[in-house]
Amino acid sequence: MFNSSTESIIILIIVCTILILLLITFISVIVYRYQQKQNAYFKNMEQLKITHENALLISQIEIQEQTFQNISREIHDNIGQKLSLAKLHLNTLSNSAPEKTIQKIDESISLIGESINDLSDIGRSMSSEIILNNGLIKALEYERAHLQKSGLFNINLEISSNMIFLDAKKELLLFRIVQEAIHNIIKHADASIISIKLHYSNSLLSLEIIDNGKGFILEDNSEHGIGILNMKKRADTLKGKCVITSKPGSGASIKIEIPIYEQNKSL
Amino acid sequence: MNEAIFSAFNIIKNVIYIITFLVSLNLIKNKNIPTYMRGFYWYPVIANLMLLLHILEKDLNLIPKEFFRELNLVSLLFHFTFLCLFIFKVIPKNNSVKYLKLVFFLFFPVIIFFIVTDIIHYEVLAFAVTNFGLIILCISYYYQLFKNTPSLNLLKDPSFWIITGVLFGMSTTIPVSIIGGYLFNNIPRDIFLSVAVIMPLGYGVMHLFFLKAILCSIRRQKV
Repeated sequence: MFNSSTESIIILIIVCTILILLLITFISVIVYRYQQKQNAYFKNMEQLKITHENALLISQIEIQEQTFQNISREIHDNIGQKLSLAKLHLNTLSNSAPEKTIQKIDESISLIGESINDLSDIGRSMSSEIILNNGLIKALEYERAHLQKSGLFNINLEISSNMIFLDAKKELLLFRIVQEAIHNIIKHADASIISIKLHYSNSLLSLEIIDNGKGFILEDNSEHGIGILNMKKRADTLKGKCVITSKPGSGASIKIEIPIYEQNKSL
Repeated sequence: MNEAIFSAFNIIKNVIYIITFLVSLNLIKNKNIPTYMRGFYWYPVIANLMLLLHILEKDLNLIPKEFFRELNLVSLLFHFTFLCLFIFKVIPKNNSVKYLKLVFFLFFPVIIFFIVTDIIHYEVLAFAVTNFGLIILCISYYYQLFKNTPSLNLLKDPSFWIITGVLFGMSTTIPVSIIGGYLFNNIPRDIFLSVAVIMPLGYGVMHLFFLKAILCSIRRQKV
């Protein structure tokens, strides 16, 4: 029907068409499969983001709840008792024994004064004003002085390099981590010495809280779980990391490292 | 008739070569293109230089055939080395890249052996081995593409177009590279030319994809 030349041209056209079609199919398949993978990846990332945000929200609620509990305990166990005692003294005042009355009034004044101081301590401890006005180091010094007053702990604060001012909100988060750690040490560790070490390098801020308490098994999260989780979540918020090391009988160490460069960029 | 078709395909291929070369000049001293595209203009430059030498040798008889043959073999080494290094640059860095480099170090001496051995048949094998080595690297690129985080927009990614072009060019021309010599001596010239059309088609499409990649780089810079 066709001569050999026409036949070979037809074959040539068919071969070229097949090759081009194969190429187009190949590119389409690759691009389609890649986009499918990309969509699944983005969906997964979105899911992870939502999970992370939920976890952060839960931890914030837990932190808030714990703060309320601390305030409530402090008011009930300490200030409440002092004020009740002052009220008792004032209720039992009698004109018949003026010397005892004066003594009771003095004691009441002293108890009310102590309560006012305690309230002011709680207020200062909860407030972010000290950080906003004076920075992280002053706030840590204040926290140390406050804890030293109890006479139960020896607190060391070491700053081993020139300090760098960070964003106040981030300094506040760091300060809350230290408070959380100290709270945990007071509550669980039976420690007598607490060391807070702060080191600023070119790119990293390193904060370490060490105690000489009874230590704990890291895998056993039942007792320390929420506190540790809160610290890790806060470090995570600062794009840093929180490493906790401890073993029974050897105290514990909490090391937080956050990038300074990113912090400064956000200033 | 087949002679005319073969010539037409060659002319189209040559036009694509020249356009790619001219557009690739935009890459010179352009700091806003992806890092791996810097220096890519050398490929179209050498391709066009070889094209010019081919015209000088075949159509104008200004260059001895043997000299052109040797230059062509040197350009084959350049083609293999350049594209291998390019693929190494665009493949995500992980342990498997070490094994891919091994492919290069295994194939390179084999190609040199086939080139320096003064047997025409071995020369054909040098082209086949080159194509085969590049096909392995291109497939590895696709494998790594799907293995790693899918963060690219493939249709706007220059590396994707270059690798796809190389894969198409090498896989379409590999059968002709292997049996071309045999067919030349054993079948009528007319039929041989209809088979040989695959060569300009493969290389033409490959350069067309390079052109697309260069345009993607330049457009990305403008965005």
